[in-house]
Amino acid sequence: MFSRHRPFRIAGSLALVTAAALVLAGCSTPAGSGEKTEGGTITFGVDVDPVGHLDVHSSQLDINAILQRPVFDSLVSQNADGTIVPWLATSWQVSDDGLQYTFDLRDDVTFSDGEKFDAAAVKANFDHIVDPATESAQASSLIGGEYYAGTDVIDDSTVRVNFSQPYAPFLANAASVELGFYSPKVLAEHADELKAGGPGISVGSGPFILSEYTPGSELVYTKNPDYNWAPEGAAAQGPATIDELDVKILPESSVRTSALTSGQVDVIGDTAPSSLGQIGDGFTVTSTESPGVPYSLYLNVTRPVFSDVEVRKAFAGGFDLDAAVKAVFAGSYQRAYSILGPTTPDSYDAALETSASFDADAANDALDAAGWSERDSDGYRTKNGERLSARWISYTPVNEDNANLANLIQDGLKKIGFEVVHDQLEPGAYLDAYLAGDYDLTDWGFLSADADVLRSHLGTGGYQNASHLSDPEIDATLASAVATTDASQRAELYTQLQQWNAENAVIVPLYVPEYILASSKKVGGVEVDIHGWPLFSGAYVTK
Amino acid sequence: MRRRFAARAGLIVAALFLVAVTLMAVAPGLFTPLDPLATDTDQVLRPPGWGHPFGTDQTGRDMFARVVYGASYSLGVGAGATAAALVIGVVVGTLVGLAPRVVDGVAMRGVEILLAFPEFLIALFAIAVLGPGPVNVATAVGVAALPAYIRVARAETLVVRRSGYVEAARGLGVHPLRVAVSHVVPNTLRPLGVIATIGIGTTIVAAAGLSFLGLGPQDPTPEWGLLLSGGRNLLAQAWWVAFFPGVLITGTVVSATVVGRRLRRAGEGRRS
Repeated sequence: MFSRHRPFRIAGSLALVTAAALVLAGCSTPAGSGEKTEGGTITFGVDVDPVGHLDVHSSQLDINAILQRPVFDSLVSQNADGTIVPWLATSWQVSDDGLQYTFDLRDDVTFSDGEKFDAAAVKANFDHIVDPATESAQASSLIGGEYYAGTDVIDDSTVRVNFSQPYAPFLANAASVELGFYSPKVLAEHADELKAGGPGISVGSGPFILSEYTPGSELVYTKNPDYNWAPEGAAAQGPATIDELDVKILPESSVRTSALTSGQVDVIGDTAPSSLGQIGDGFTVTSTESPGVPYSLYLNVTRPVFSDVEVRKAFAGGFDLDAAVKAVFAGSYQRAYSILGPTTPDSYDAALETSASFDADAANDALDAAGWSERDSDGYRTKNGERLSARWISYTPVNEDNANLANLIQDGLKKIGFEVVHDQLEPGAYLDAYLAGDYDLTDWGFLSADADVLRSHLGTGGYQNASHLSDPEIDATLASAVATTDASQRAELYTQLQQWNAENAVIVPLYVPEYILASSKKVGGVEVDIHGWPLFSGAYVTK
Repeated sequence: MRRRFAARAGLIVAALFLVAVTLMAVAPGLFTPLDPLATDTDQVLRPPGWGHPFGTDQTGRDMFARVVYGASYSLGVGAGATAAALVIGVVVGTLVGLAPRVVDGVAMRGVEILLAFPEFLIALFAIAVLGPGPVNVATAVGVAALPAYIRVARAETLVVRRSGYVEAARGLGVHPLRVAVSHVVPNTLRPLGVIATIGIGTTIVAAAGLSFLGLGPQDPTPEWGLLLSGGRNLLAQAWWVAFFPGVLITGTVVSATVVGRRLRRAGEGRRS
């Protein structure tokens, strides 16, 4: 799923992306200073309103996943260590060939409009996700994309999901909010209103009910008093402790910070790293490194400048990334060494942390050797009279920290005679340039709780394959990794891919984004999932 | 007496400020040897002090150099947009003033409708049509300022066309175009010049406002509105990043207004 650094998805292909799995039993914020009380209201300040993108089955916005989690439940839940635990499904069996997943469902679950949750409801929802009319890219990828082969109702409380070929990430994906369940009545009667969302439309079986929605301003959730089907082992069982959750839309990061420190809101999300000093010790801060592909530069290998691997390597090692990330994020975020974040389950290759380093001399030598040895009047390298120059396109609005990082990269590469022209384009212009392949590099980070995210980034024709890479060996490795359920075998395959990229510099990872949640000590019990996103079912207000 | 002295001192300070800012725009190298684009990861967010009189920003760039080099963008847009509005305003206003009543009536109702909207709103609308970018910001701001110039030019034309010397010229059989160019236009220019002086301030604010919203030049260009925007989330930690561009914008606008008002008073005094 797209990280907040680039909240949209390239249109078109329904190719497969992966898992955004959810950990329910993550770390919990320490209890506040006071005693736990029943009832009360917690206010939560967020940066964006997913206006027009409230449908969990078609939205690609992270913020929508955060704001709909209180309302929608999933078949299973994923713990911090990657294990899958029962939620609306009490147990499941995977066939030996890996093609069929059979789930036994709870029989005591009702949606907040009184409809019953059963096998038919699961089928109705999964059918809705893959229905072309839903225009889903995110959820339909999570459910397996072209590998998905339909859902069968066995009986009221048994359902079977079929695949055309083994698809290892499915169970983890089934824990995501994108594969959550609407009341079948809503799907039948309000299918065309799901994107607009709101009370009576965004109806699930979760611990909270969306009761008021003022676009651009506020979402109000009230507790579901009948809730009694939390994930197995979750700290909070039964109905929520608080009566009401108020979400306030506060786009400016400085405004969110001030709203927290002045007591106007209890919890804020997407906190700016630079504001942590201002927030200080009187608050609980939880930083969670995002799994998936770190914020990276994608070098277009089909363009003359980056078709030469030596030039790509000189580019990647030609600027001081350590110093740049440290300067921009004041030590809050870590630089990235690999194309997978350290918290991506069963995949991260920590050995790469010793390999990458900044070496201007080596970069200069490599560029000389590659024929870029002349210099023009501006100090940039040339070959046959042509300047060594790369066009970097970015989708606007560019987050302020990323803009600063881009400046440092541009300025660093200028010192080795490599010109980088940074074009920050409006969404429409960006899409035109992106789809036409009219760029040498572009940038984004891609949140995903499964390493299969690399398939769309490196696989031939993958819709996030901004590098235009097409390598049969890489495709084969990606294909065997997605079909392998054995964790250590998968890790081995993904290690190969990470090392291959380090040697070939197709994707240049820059930093590992973190979701920073800050909360007042007046509240406690706010848990976070694998992305660092807050879960309010066990949250409480202190006396 | 004292008040008069204060007013004069204010006028001198304002004039000096404008001269300084204009110099910055024309010859930024006189003020600082530093490159406004040069980053330094060891000098991030340094407060004002020796070496960096206005401090440094998030990537270690010298804020003084950025503000100085920013003058040419901000003043350029302000002056360019105002000049364009002035020229077009005079031509259109004069023609409308000399045109038959029907044309005049229709044109002026159109101008009045435009005047009913705040200038910034019109500029935003123009940007929405033209798309973002530095040139389009200047165009949008110029378009927004235009109706006022047309109105004044037309009013002056109406006064001048009934004056004795114009009647005389026409009586002598001078070509109407020649009458317009040599008698009408010069007389409309003086009051418009005064309005333009004050107007430069308004256009600078409007242009900086559009840049602040990210619709104008893009980072790393050192444009004042953009610099202000770059510091807006740092007010609590590094006030200087937003403060100095803000001071320059405010100072320029206030100075232009003070000088413009003084000119207007001078013009009114002379005329009465």
